[in-house]
Amino acid sequence: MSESQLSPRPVITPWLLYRTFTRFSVIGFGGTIFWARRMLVDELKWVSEAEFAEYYALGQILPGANVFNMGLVLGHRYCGWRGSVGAGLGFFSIPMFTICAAAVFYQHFGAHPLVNKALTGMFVVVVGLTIANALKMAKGLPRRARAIFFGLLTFLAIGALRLPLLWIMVALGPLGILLAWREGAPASTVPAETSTANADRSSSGEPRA
Amino acid sequence: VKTEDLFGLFWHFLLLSAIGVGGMHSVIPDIQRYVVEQNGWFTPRQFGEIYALAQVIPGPNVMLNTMIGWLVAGWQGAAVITIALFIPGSIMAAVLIRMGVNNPNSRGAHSLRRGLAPLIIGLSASTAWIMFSTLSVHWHWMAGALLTAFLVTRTRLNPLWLIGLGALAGMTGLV
Repeated sequence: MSESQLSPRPVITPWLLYRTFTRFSVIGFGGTIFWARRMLVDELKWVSEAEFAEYYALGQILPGANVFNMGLVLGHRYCGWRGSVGAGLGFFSIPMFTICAAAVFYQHFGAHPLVNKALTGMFVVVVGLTIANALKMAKGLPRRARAIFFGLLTFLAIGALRLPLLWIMVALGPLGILLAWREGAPASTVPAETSTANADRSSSGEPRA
Repeated sequence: VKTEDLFGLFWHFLLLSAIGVGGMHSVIPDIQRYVVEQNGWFTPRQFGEIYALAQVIPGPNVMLNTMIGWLVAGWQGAAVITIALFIPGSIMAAVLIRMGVNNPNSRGAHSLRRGLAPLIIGLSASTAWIMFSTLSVHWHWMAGALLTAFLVTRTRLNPLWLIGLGALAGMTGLV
């Protein structure tokens, strides 16, 4: 557990993963991803900008909370299963209590006229943020017939027709993955060796923004 | 709280979380359907308030679900939903790691990403659309949301300031 005098980087332990994920998840105003990137890329330099984007994308395709899932995969890379547990628990063990306190606040003051009006005003803005987020994501979609077709079909089914999501995921998910698989493998930007704890992480050659 | 209610809550959120590809944000329409339309635990407006509150509280936005659990069934509800939230992702992450797909750049991971990205975007657009349609009661709510979307995409304003402004506008009766 002791840190080497020569290495500027600490040895990444499950406990350190827990503390790191706790640190950015408790402050994670308006979504944890922004703070996760700031800490893991800019501050601690555990991963490069490009690696972070790819780990996050992997966290996104796993079901449920994106940053939690990213933590599982990233934690495993450094410390195996114990690393996954450390990062995963760090993500929600403290925020769980914060949000319950917010729930108690809402139970007591949610109906108070002033609080209620403030919440409504906030909701209007939050909907605007949701729209902006969808637009931003749509801009990043590859301009390919297949991608556009799948995106539109999902939007029509869920957004317009309000079909249950389960049907869509079962029908379109595997088909989309299969078609993408047939397109073949990408050019590598992340080193193939990922399982070794504290492996050299500087070999991706990507510039840091 | 009855045990079978907690079990129902657990089971439903387990399922939602299992299909919540792209984040729990993707399943907001289904969460809303379950807690507002099917069970009547919240009015559409209350759901909007809870949603907004969960966004401004420090911590992951996914904790909205824990908050729903608390409001529906106290601490047991919160605990049950929180556990349900993280099980499917953990299982799938273990499967990916076992299959060696945990390198984000392997062919498998790449196919998953490329295959699911359009769906995730379609789901985000759906969530935005359904949320937006709940604002249709008042035209100035819709205008406020569109103005926010415009400002966020065109300027570098911190969204938190906008949420603060939204709260002020709400309190002063502007929206």
